Amino acid sequence: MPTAHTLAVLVVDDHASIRGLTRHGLSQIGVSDVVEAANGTEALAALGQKRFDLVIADWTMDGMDGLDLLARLRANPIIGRTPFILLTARNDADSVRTAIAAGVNNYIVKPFDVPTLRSKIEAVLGPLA
Amino acid sequence: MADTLFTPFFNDGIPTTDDDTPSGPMQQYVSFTVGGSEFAVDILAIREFKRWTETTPLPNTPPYVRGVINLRGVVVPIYDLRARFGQGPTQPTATHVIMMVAVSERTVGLLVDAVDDVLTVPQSALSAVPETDSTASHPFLQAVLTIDERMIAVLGLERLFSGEVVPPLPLGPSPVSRQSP
Amino acid sequence: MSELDRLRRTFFDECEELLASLQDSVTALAAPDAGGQHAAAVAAAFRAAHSIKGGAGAFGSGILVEVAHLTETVLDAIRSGRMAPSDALVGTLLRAGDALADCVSADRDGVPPPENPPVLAELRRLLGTPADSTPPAAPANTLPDFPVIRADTAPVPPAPPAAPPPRVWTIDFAPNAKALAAGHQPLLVLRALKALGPLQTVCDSSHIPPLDALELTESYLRWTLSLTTDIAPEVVAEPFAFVAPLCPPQITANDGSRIGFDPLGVGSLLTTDSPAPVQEVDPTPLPEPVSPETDPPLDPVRPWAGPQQAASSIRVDVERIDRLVNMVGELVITQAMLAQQAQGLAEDRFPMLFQGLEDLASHTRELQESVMAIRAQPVKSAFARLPRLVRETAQALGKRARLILIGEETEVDKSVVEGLSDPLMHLIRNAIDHGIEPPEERRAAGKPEDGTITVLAEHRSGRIVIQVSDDGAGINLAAIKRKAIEQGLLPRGADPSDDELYELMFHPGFSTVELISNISGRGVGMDVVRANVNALGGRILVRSYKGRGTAFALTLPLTLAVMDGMLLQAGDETYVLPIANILESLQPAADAIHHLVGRGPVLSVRGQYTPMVDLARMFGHRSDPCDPTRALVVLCEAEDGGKVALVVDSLIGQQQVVIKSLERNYGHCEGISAATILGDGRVALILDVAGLRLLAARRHRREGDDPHG
Repeated sequence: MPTAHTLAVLVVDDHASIRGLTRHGLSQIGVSDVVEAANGTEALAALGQKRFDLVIADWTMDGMDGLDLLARLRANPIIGRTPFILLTARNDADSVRTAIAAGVNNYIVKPFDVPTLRSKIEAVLGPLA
Repeated sequence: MADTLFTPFFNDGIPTTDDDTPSGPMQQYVSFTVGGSEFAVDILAIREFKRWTETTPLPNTPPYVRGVINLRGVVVPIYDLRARFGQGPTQPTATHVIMMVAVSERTVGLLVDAVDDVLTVPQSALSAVPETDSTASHPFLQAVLTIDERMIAVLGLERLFSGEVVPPLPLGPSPVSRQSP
Repeated sequence: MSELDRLRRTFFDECEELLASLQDSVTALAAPDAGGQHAAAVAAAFRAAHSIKGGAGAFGSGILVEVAHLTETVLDAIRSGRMAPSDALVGTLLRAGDALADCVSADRDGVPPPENPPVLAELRRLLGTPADSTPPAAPANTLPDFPVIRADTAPVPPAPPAAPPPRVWTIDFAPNAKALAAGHQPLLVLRALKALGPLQTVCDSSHIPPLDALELTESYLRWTLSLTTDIAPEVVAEPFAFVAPLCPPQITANDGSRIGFDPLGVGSLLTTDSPAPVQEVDPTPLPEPVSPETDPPLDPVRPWAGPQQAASSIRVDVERIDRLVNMVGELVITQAMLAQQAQGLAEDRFPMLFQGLEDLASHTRELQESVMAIRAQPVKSAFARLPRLVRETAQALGKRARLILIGEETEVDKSVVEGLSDPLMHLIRNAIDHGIEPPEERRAAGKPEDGTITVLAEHRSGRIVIQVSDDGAGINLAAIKRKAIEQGLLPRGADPSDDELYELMFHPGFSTVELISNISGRGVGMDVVRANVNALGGRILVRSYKGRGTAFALTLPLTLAVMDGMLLQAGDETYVLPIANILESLQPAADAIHHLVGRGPVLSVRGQYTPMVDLARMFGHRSDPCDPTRALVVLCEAEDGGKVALVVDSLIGQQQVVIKSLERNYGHCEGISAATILGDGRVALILDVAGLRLLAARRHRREGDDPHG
C-alpha cells in the first residue's frame, strides 16, 4: 500500500495557478514531494532526473501537450510505466475517448476537489496509507 | 511505496531519491556491462530492451555493425559495443541484451552483455573523462560516473556513431570504404 | 494571505495574459485569412478561453466560467468549420472578451461580477442554446468516475423499484503487456472489484513459460473472477474503465446479462458539455445510446447506410491513405509468412487451408493494387509547368521550339509524380539549350525552324516510361570524349564505346564548355537528374543520333511501397533482386567465362562481355571461389543500363516485397538499395545492381585480378 508522504509526484501545467492548486490539493492528502513543470519539455527533463510515482499533467499546453508528453514517457521502457493522470477542463466524450486511447491511467476534470483528487490517485496507485 | 510502480527487474537497484541531496540536481542513467566493464547511458535515450536475436548482416561494414533486425516493421541496425570498443566481436547468447536507443532522429540497437541497474546520481558524481592515451581511442565517452568507488563510463551516443569523431577502423581482408552510418 | 488567496491572485494575473492573447487572436480573425493564420489564431483563442474556464471553476465566479465556456464553444465551432468567422461573429467574440475582463477585475476587486452580461445572450443565440441549459460551472467533477458504461442487461428493468436480486458476474480478465507497459496494475483492478462484493479469483498461470523464455515485459497471468453483487452493471465495469481499451475483459452474469465495452472502453452514459444543436451538425456525432433491441450486446455492427448523397468523390487526408498503404504492406508480409508456414504441410491433407491461402494471396494482391490506385495520380500535374518553361527558355535563347505532350493521363503513384517534376524540367531545359539548334542552323540543315520536343508517358510492363525527345543536333560525343580526357576521366588514347561516353555525361562534376550555358546555370547537371530518378527507384537511358536528335527515357516504378522481387541465396544469406533488373538467368559453360587482368572475370553472352560478380564472396559470406558453371548466373541490367552477371547459389522464388528504408535508421550501404521483411520476420536486403557493378569494378581495379576479388 503506498504511503502518501513517500510519493513523488510531477505536476505539469502551463499555468502557475493550476500547478499551485494541484500542489495544494496534494498536500491536503499528505503528498509533499511535488515537482512542478511548466511544459512538456520541462516535464521530460524532470523525468530524466528523478523517479516519480505519478505524473499529473494538463492536456492543453503550448508545444508538447499532455498527450505528447504521455507518448514520450511511454516510449521509455524504464520510466514508461509511471502512472499518468490527465488534468483537463475537457469533459466531452470525444476528449475522454481520445485520452483513454492514448493510454492515460485516469482523468481529472477541472475544477476538481480534494476528495476527487484523492480517489483518482488511489484508483491508479492503490489506497493511500 | 506502491506495489509495483516499476519493472520489477529494476526494483532492487534504485537508490531512493526522496531527499534532495545538496550536491545539485539528480540525473538518471541505465548501467550495463560490456566485456567486463560497466557503462551507462542517459535513461531518456532508451526505448526498449530486447533479447538477442539473429541479425541480417550488412555487407562490407565494420565488424561492430552486426547487421539489421526487424523491430515491429522497422529496419533497425544493431551495433556490437564490445567490438566497437576494440575487444573483438561478442559471441551472443540468449541472455545477451539489445538496448534500443534513440540517437538524434534514429533508433539503433546496442548489443551488450547485460543491463544492470538504474542509477540516480547527483551531477557531482559526474566527472570529465581523464586525459589518458585511451581518450583518443574512446572518443565516445562523455563522462565518468563515480559511485561507491566504482567507475562507470557514460557513453555519448551521438559520438558513438558520428563519423567525424570516430576514426575509420580497419575492415578486414577486403577493405572497402563505406559511408559512416 | 492564505495560500489559496495567493494562488487566486496568480490566476487573475494569468487571466490578464490570457485575455490579451484572446483579444489578439480574435482581432487577427477580422483580417483576411492570407497565409492560413486563421487556424492558428482560432487555436490560440480557444486555448486562452479554455484555460480561463479551467481556472475559473476553481478560483472564479460562475459567470466567468459560463462566459468562458460559451466563448470556447463558439471557437470550437469555428475551429471545426461549423461556423465561419464573420465580422459580426468577431464582434461578439471581442465583446465576450470584454465581459471576461469585467468578470476578472470584479473578482479581483472583490466586488460582485456583472450578473448577466448582454454578450451571454448573444453567445447563446449563436449556439442556439436556451438560456438556462448551459451546463458548466459544476462544483466538482462533471465527468462520471466511470467512462465505461454500456450495460446490456438481458431483460432491461427500467429503473427497478426495489433492489435487484444479486447477480453472479463472471469476469475473464487477461491483462496484456500493453496494459502493464501503460502503468496499469491488475492488482488494483482486483481490489476494486473485491470492494463490490464477495469475489472468488482463479488465476490461470499455465501460460508462464520456462524461465529462459520468460519475457520481463510480457504478461502471462489471466484471471477468472466470480463476483456476487446487486450493484449496477456500470459500477461493476468501472474498475476496467481505463484498462479496457488495452485488454477488454469478458463480463457476463448468471442471468444472461453482459457488459460490453466499445473499442475505446467508453460507453454511452457519459455526460457531455457540448450543446445539443452543435452536436447535430457535428460530422462525427457521438454514438447514440445503445438499446438492446437494436443492437447485439457485443461488437455492434451497424449496416452501412450508404452515402447520404450520390457523391462521386471524397477528399481524404493523405496521411490516412499512407496509413492504409502501410497496413497493406504489413498484410503482404503476413500473407507471405502464412504461405511460408504452410509449405511444410501436405496439401492433400489440408485442401481448405491451401485454397484459403491461395485466395488470401490473390485478395491481398488485389487489395494492394486497389490501395495503390488511390494514391495514383495522372502525370499531368508534373507536365503542367512544361509549356511555359519551353516558351520562356526558347525565347531567352533565341530559339524556336514547340512542345508535344502525350499520355498526360497516365497514372502513377503520387510520390513518383512529385519526384518527376524536377528531372523533367531539367531535361527540357537541356533539350532546348543543347539539343535544338538556332533557327538559321536548322534551316540550313533542311529542318523546320521550329524544333519539336516531345514528352511521352506510358505504362510498359508494370513500370511507367517517360520519354523526353528532341529533333535537335544530337549529343556531340566527340566533345564529351575530348573533355573527359582533359579532365582525366578517360585515359589518353582510350577508345570508349558510345554507351560509355553517354555514361560520362552523368558523371558528377563532368562538364564541357559546349554544355555550359546561362540557362542550365550549374552546367548540365545530368548527375542530379540521374540521382533524382534513382531516388525514385528508376533508371535513365540515352539515345542520340547525330543531326536527328536525342531521347532520354526514364523508367520508373509505379509505386515506391512494394515491388516484385526475386529471392536468391548467396552463402547463408537471402537477398532480393528487383525483377525489373533481371534480364535472364543461366548456367554458363566453362568457355563462356574469361578472365581479364584488372577487370576480373567476365561472361560472354551472345558476343557481349559482362563483368561477373560472385555475390557471396563480394559480400564476405564465403571466401572460396564459387564455380560459376555449377552455380547460377543472373544477368542483370542496372538503372544506368550497365550490365552485370551475378553469381548466386540458388534462386528461391519470386515474391512481392514491401520496401523498407535502410537509410532511416542506418544509412547507405553500398550495393544495397533498401530492405524488406520476409515471411519469417527476418530482414532481407534488396540489391542495388548499379551499386554492385561499381563496387565490383572498384575492387578489381584496386586488387588487379587477385583471387580475393
